[in-house]
Amino acid sequence: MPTLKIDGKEITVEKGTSVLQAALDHGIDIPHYCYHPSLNIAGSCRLCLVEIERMPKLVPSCATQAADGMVVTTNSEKVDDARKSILEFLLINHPLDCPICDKAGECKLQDYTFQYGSAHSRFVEDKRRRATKDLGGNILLYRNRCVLCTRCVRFYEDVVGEPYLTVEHRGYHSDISIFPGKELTHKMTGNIVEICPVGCLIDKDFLFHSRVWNLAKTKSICPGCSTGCNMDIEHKDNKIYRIRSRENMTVNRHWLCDYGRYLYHQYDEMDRFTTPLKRTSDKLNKSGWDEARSIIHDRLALLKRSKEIGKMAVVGSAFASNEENYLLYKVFHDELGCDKFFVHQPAIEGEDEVFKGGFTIHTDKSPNQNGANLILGKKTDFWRAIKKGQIDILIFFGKDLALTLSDQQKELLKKLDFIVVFDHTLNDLAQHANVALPVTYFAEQDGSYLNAGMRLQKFQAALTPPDQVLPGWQILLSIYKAFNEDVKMVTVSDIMNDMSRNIKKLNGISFFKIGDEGVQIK
Amino acid sequence: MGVKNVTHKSRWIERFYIPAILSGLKITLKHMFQKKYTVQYPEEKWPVPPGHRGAIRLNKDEEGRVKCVACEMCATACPAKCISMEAGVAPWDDREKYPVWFKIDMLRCILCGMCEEACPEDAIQLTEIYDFSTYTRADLIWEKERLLKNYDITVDGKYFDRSREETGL
Amino acid sequence: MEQAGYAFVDILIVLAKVIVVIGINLLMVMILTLGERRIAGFIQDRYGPNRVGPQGMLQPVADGVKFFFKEEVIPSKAEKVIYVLAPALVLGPALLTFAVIPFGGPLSVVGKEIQLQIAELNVGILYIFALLSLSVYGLVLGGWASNSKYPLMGGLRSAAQMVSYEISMGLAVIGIIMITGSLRLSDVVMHQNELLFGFLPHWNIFLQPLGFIIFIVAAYAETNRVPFDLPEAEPELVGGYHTEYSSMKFASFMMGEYIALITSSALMTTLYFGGWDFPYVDESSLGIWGVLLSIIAFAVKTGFFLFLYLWVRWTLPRFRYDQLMGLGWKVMIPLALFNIIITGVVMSLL
Repeated sequence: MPTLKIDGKEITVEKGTSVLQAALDHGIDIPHYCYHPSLNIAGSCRLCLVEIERMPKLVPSCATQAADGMVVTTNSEKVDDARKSILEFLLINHPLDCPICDKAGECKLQDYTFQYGSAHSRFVEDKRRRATKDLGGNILLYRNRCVLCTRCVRFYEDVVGEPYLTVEHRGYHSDISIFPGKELTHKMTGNIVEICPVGCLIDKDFLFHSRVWNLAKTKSICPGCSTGCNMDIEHKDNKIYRIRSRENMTVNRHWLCDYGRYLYHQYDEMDRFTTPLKRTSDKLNKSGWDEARSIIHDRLALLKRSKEIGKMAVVGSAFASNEENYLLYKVFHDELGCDKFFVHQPAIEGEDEVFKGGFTIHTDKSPNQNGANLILGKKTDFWRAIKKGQIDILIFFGKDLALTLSDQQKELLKKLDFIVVFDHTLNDLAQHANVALPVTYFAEQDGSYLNAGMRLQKFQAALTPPDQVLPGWQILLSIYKAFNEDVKMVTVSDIMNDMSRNIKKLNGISFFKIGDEGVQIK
Repeated sequence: MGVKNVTHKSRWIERFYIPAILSGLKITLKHMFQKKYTVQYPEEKWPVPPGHRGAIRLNKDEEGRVKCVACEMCATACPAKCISMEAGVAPWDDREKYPVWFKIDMLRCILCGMCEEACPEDAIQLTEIYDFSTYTRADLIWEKERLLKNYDITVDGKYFDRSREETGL
Repeated sequence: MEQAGYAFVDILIVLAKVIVVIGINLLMVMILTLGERRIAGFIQDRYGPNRVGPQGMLQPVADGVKFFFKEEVIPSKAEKVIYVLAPALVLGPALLTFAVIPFGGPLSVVGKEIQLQIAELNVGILYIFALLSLSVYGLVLGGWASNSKYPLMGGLRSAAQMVSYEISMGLAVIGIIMITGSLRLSDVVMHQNELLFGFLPHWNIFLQPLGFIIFIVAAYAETNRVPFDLPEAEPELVGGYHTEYSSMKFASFMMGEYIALITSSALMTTLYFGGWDFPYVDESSLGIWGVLLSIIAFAVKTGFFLFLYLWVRWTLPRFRYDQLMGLGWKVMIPLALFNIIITGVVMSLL
């Protein structure tokens, strides 16, 4: 464990850590472009030069391993001068088109020039102009703006393991280019926009949509697969503008796949129903929450009195948060005595995709299968129970946008007496419901998921749902409270506290203890 | 600070007050026939000094297109948060970004001119127009067309020569 | 028979005179309301109201319409009967005063001599003073009946002010009565219808300059005009005695005030400036044209004094209340007595 001194601050780091990373970890900012903690070292931008005692020249801190007794200075006159010169070189050909650049506001070149650069340009010649290229997929390449850090090139080499991009030509003529015949239709393209320190790589999906400083960030978890990638929802005026990955070295490092990145469009565009619906004869009609709740409550109370609770099946969901599944169990098992619990989960086909850098895209496209199984048990086939005629009443918690039923399953549903569905859209199953309740999706509610690696992670509400749409846990809580006046739970955090008392594996966990990076469950 | 006593010794004629009253009447009579300072708005308009911060306009480029590139610098600088816009891909070959719609809520605008200071393209400017009251609140939410029209009626510096019909104000 | 017919025609003539005089008075009120504001504007280097009609001439009409449509507010604690009566008590005496003022030379129609004066009273001057004393009731009662502190103070001020200045005014006029030897106003006018020393008109202003100054000061105080408009001093008393009045009742107060202005201007003309006398011209020899000339002479002189009222209003500042009373009692009354003595001495010497 080498101990070194950076700007007079004594720092002890792991062996093999670069001086740059050591400084960044301890709150000392050294400007850098090419260095990225999840990529190999290139040492090409020369912006992270620092002065190290007993070394003749300035050294790139990203490519220098921290050693015992090193004395590093990051803000000497010599270093400042070097930075200023490098920034001046970078700005020779960088266009001053910040007003129309989507990166403006989170651009490293802007920040560093403002902080370390010179206020005036000595360059009077014409700037080099290169045409903007469409790299395919969602990516635009603004070649004028490139600072040749090669992060994008290395991303494909180191993380994806399949090279797409390269640096064409040498010296002044260097140019980021895509290999002939290739197109950026890869599953991970969005990441290169994120890691590009300037506005060279731009996402068409976000092109000109908003200035970045107008967007609010909310920490969330990707519901796209059981990896549970950490991400930030960036939103404005109750609308999601883009999704960016949030660093979590144990789950997704810095990455996010395109499926998860653009998944919010599916939720944006889904044909959701926004009021509770009730069945009158053959049709589902609009209803209000009071009416819908009283229909459900009357039915359940009747069931409880007639001691036929065994005729009821409750289907939780691998798409629902732990709190929702837990409340299902609480209401229908603890309060009503039902014992038929199932978990709805999507069909899993094929193999998980693991990239060179360790990033995994799971084929299980539900975010919380482990959580649902932990709380409700592992039974999934409620269709067989229906077929056998053991079930009259079905409580179904959906939230699966891809849910479809076969004709046979639709026939089976007709045998049922009473169906309550919690979902976003009127899918095949919800159309058979007696009461359909509109619930919020991940971006509109708080909650937690247990990912494939048994890591419990929480997500928070970024958007305000439509008037009549409520979070699933809130609906279940109100049904619960109608049966049991002693229930004191109010928030998601209360539900999690209750859960940690009743489920052994989650012992001692609370919403606040989970933190931004989640908690590992054994 | 001391107190200075000032005494005025009136002459005997002054103590009649009649001469004083008459000289007062003379002054007011003189004023009756003097040039009047009233500006007969709206037939006459007071021409504002240069640099006056009046209604906002959106400038046009040489080809008559909106100069704005929708960078939202004005909206960011605006202390009253009265500017809003939506950026889009420009329909012209030589331009990338332009405002699809651009709106200024003149009900909120405090005419501080920060937008003009912030604009990197000299696309938004405050003009000499000060008489833009309307009969409805909705009429003071100005869209792009309205702001470009402000440019047309002020660009040659002859706003005050234009008729009401021409300016629409 | 003949007697009855004669009386009937007489009544008709009097009626016609009443209608004409009241009509012209009300018209003048309208012109004055506009004139007040336009002259204020001109004196202050601006235009004043010039939007309604050509040069703002229809402004009084617009104001009148507005007054009619204003809400009528009567304070709940007001003494209702007196409150409603007060504006009429101001307007009535003001209109009645004009009855004894001759506004033109005698007109002969079909051998019948018609005096251009509604009532040829032999105690005309006393009648005027009697009505002047009455008009203060309207202000005091209006102020009191409003049951509000500012109107009450305005009313009290006007009462004190009027009582004080009536004395000096009366004393000033005694000089004229002494010269004329009659209380009849037509006699006063006829007495001035000559030449003094062969070149000056025989107007009382030349005989009674001190009396005129006392009279005009007292007249300004009696009509509550600047610089003696303390009963309605807006910085201190909001609106004075008419603070609680609105709509047409307020308008009645204003009309009363303006008619008082006209009457006092006419009185000044009659008493000191020869009335309808056009100097150096013998109106009676010109027949109908002479009458017309005399009416015009009267109108011009009265108009000048009306203008003087407005002119003074926008020139002089308001007196303090103690200054007002001091001036009235300590300066005006002794001066008026002095004036009588001088007049008496001069008359006995001649």
